[in-house]
Amino acid sequence: MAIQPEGMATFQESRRQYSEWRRIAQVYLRRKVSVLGLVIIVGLIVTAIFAPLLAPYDPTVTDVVNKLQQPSSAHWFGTDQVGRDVLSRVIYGARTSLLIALGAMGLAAVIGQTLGLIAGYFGGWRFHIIMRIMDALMAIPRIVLAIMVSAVLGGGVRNLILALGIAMVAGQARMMCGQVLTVKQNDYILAGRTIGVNHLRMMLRHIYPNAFQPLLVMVTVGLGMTIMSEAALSFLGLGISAQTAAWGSMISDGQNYLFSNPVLSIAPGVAIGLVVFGFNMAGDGLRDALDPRLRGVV
Amino acid sequence: MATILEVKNLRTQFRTFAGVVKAVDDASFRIDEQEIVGVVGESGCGKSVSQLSVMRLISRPGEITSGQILFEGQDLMKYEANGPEMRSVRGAKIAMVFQEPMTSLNPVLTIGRQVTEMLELHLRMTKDVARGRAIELLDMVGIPAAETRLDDYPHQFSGGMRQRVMVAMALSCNPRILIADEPTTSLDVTTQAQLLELMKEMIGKFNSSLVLVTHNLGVVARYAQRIYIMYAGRIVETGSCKDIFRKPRHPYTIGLLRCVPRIDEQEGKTLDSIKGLPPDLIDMPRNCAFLPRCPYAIDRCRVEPWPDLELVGDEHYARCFINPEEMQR
Repeated sequence: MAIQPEGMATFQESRRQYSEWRRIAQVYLRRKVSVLGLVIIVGLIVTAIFAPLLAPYDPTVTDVVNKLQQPSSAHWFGTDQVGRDVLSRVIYGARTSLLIALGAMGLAAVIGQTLGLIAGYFGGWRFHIIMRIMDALMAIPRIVLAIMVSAVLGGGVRNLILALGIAMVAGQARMMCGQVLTVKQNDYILAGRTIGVNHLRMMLRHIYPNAFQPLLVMVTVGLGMTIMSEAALSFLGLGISAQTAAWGSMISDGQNYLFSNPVLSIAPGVAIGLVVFGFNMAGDGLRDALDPRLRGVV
Repeated sequence: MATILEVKNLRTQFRTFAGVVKAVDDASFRIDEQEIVGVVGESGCGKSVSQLSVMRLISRPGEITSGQILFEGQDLMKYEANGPEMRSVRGAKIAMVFQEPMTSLNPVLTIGRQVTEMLELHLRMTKDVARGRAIELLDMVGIPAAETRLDDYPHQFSGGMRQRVMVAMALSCNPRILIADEPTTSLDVTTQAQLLELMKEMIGKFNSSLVLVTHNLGVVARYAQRIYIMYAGRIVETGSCKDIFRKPRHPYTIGLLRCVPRIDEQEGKTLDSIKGLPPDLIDMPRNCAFLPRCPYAIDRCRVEPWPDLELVGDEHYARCFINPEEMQR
């Protein structure tokens, strides 16, 4: 063991190129449908960022004279009941959806994962108090909980983020807690304790990086689900004000003209479907790529 | 030589649904400066738990119910288990190496980060200084191209290499005592010998003491100066290495010695084993826990409670009623 061939160092050198993230990327990119999912997500992000450049019209300007027009070269998806350009509203809707999805999921991830980490790491009364509260939250269906919260807080983007975020805290906390309980069993955690690592360092440096992979998948799929929930809330009129372009409320507005102007509802509907599909496929791909049983396989 | 660690009447228990498991029951032992001590026993006899108790690393449902742990004259039991005093003892004063090198290192951090963590934590070194020291340490434990290997991840190391890293980490803060909990059990035989030699050499260099926890008498025979034999959470015999091997005074020790294959043995002779299983640590009888498996048992063993450790020779203690001549056959 002490004696190793001279060539060892150069062999090490060449092997350094290989990294875990590169392998994950390779496995991920092998699945075509996951790549499609990634393309859709990137498309969504680009659309959201460059909405003012991409949209042919201002999505909020009404033009009552040209209301409820059929699709044409001037208005690709037609205009709605107050004459706003539907294509522009779909493009700006991407902004709303992404903002709410990232906000709500981020909120849920930060709160939920922190709680789960604390509950799983310390165990005992902290575990029981936190996880029983999470169980209670989980007993209420997500969308009902979100409706409840937004009914109390009122509409608007910020409150919608809060409502959807709170509804997803429990899932994150539970997953994290379970992961931490598994990771905690490992000898390197005990080894860390034997060298006197304190709790905070132990949680952040030793446990979290070993526990977060499944949560990454959950967050990805969760982003899609949040967009769905946001659309549902907007559809029910509990979401965003009519002025802001949001896919859910567009479908809701369009339902009165479903037979005369179906594009009004179909366009945002397809957008929602596409984006949710994208997040789900990306999540599936990530799950496969992060599967520890595939470690070492290229 | 001066004693650095003295454990008196340690009791560690685990409260489970089935009952209270007395993992360590009234064990006393000591470790002198620059000494190699062997702790030997079967699986589940309390050897690992007794060592983790010294570090105050027993977590629920386990609990140290009584005893003193005198380290450099101070009772570690007076400190809070996770308080700053205990954390400054762990790693810096008493370090530990574990059985499974495959799982003892954090898979997501490089070897370098893990070795330097210790140095930054206890010696307050800056990153660069710690890195330099880490390279020195890895070099010392015989890791070739230490400087480049510092940036490798644990999965790029073999088992023996990882155990070397663990030894380097354990010794990085120059601890007074190194506890090695079955350090070679999961390594192959040639690597085992190298690692043991390395540990012996390293503790010599660092003037530390070594506690070798093992079930392999062959390992302690070669390295340990004193040996503690544990059975069912208690120390059943202790003495110098020579006395334990030449004049064992407890039937369990004799049984263990017979389990070791010898090269000069007559061909075709079956290897002895100790019949039966260790007792359930929940319902311990008052009398000798080894009684059901003891080939020399006499009536007195069945009637009277288990005796305390009695002096049977020079610094040689055993817990047994049986006349030593009876055990010589």
